[in-house]
Amino acid sequence: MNTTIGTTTLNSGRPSLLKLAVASAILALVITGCVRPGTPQGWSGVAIQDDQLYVGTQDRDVRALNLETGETVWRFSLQGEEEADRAVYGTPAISDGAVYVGGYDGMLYAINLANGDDLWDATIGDGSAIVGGAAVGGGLVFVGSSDGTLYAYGAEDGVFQWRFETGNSIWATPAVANGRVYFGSMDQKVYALDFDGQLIWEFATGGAVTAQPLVKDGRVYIGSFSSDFFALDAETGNVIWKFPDANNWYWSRAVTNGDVLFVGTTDGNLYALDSNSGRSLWVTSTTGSIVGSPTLVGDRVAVASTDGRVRLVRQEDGQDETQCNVGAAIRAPLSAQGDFLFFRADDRSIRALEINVNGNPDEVWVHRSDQDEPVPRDWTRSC
Amino acid sequence: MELIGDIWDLVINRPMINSLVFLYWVCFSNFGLSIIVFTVATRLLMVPLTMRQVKMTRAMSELAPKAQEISEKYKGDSQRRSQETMKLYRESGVNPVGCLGPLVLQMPIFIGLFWALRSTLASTPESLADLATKLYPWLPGVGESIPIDPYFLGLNLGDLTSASGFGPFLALVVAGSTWLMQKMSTSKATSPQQEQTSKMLLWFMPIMIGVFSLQFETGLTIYWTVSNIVGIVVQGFIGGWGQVREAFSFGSLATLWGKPPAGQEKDESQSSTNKNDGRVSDDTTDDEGEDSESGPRSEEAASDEHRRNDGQDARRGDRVRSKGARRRARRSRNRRR
Repeated sequence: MNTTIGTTTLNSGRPSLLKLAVASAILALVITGCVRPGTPQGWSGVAIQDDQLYVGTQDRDVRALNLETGETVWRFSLQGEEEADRAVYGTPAISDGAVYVGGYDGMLYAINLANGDDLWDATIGDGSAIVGGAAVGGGLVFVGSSDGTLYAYGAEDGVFQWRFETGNSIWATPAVANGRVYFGSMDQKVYALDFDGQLIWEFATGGAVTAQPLVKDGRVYIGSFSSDFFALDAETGNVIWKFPDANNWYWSRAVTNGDVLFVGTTDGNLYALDSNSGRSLWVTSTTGSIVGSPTLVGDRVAVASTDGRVRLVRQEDGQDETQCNVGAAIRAPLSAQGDFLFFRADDRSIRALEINVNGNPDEVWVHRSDQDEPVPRDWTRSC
Repeated sequence: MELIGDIWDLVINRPMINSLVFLYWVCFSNFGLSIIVFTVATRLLMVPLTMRQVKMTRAMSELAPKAQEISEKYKGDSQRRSQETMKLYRESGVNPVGCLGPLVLQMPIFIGLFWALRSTLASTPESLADLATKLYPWLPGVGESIPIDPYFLGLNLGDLTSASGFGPFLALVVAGSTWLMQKMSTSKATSPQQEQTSKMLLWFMPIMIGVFSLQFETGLTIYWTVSNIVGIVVQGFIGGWGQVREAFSFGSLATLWGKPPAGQEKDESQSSTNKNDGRVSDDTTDDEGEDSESGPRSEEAASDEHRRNDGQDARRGDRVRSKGARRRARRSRNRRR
């Protein structure tokens, strides 16, 4: 770059070339030097209990909202040292009157479900970012950290119990079932531990794992960045079947209706797989990337993508699509209760959709986390 | 605007990201090594352009006296001066803009690499999720390479250079290599004004780049340093190594303290002689310093010019030659023997 600047200028004797070259160099430096890496925004899922939902927002807090109206019940601010790191990616875990939230600020919070008070909090390990959510079981709360370690804390008192190291960051939310904790790591493996932190089995997938395992009927279903989706024996970790035909990463957890598994990939495809054989039943495409888990509503499966749309298709054949375009990317997983869908979008909103009998979604409320008045009464509905 | 973004993404960003990831897979999961290989490869791909640039530069050097004549002739009429200069270039088959080839190519490479590094190292979950959409699914090693290990020789390539303990050292290295690169490729000015600009650029660019590099990711600083080193080597092979020797000679280092190097003293005295004569002489472009800067001249040709200069110097008899210049001329003659 510099070579040419000097040579061109001095030999051509054309100051305009000099100006052009120097201006280009300065422009390039300024453009690049002034742009800082993006700050983490989080894509917390929504946890539902009774008539409230719990979600981490883009405004650095965790909120309890009224399920029917979207009004704020309480608000809990994250406390990490760096304000920019106060983001939540995992879905809050609810157990025994507490909400457990892992923060990108490296802290694990136990929040009183009733009033949002801080029951306890702990800086996990060296304070590396927590991307996955927490999981609770056997009186313990489990959380993975970007330092590559799975930590277990006492759920009631927040006392450290044990830790288990892997070869790379853990961004996946653990799953607890049958007295075991299952989780994936960026070191490309899936692990099964007992509640004492002893390794039972591990399985190499060939790609990083960020998805939460789905444990059902003695099987662990999980996909990885190798573009493979596996059904593993929950007892041994042996492969029961493998679906290798996707073209991109599995970022999030699969959901199942018992017979069929539904799982999205980052190239925007939603696959329906036979849970017994792993055979592909149908596939439907979105125009964005699927990062959050789909969910089931009635006889439909709902999936959101970064193209800003929530799509609903029949579980049976993936047909008869209906959709709601919220106009902002959706990376968070979808949650359902009854005929209602709840999710967080990347425009600082938490939304509720009602799915009517013909499968069409109607927006019921929008909660904007950056506004004091949480539920605008005069908004234009997305659908 | 969106279209430009899409084209940029398709033509620059995605190929770069995928090249880096593929090289990471090939280079034993070492991202520093993949940046180095990538840099060397892009610089080597640009060798034909660099050669063309040197050729153009050389041709323009030869035309400089005539351009200077035009400049003198149409002093008060800038439009006419510009027209006549362009006519001269056109008639001689020289395209001044052609010299910008490597620059024009390096700009998108630099900016593209900047974004590619950020995308590939994916500091946040959002950026890692976005990375998935930019990778070619058919490319081998993609699934198993992500996430990229950002460490190289103890440095986190995704961290800002200033955040590294070696930050100031890296900034000095990048500034130093930029200076040397600049020094090698800067030809002799044909007027005091250009000379002043040349001097300003020679120091302004390295200092600016050194300071800016502190605000860049370490990986980008490494790219820049390696790019300069490869550029110096390529330039050396094409244009000769005289400037490197010159750069490290006492005379050149003396400019650090504001004292002009020995050869330059001679040039200035020559230039003032010409000015006093009111004529522009072809001799102004023939000096030792320029032999290696202005184009791909052979050592033999350079020595011939030295000899010619020596003869002219002796005839003029009124020129003061520094010890350094005499020593270099002697060395040239010895080499020729």
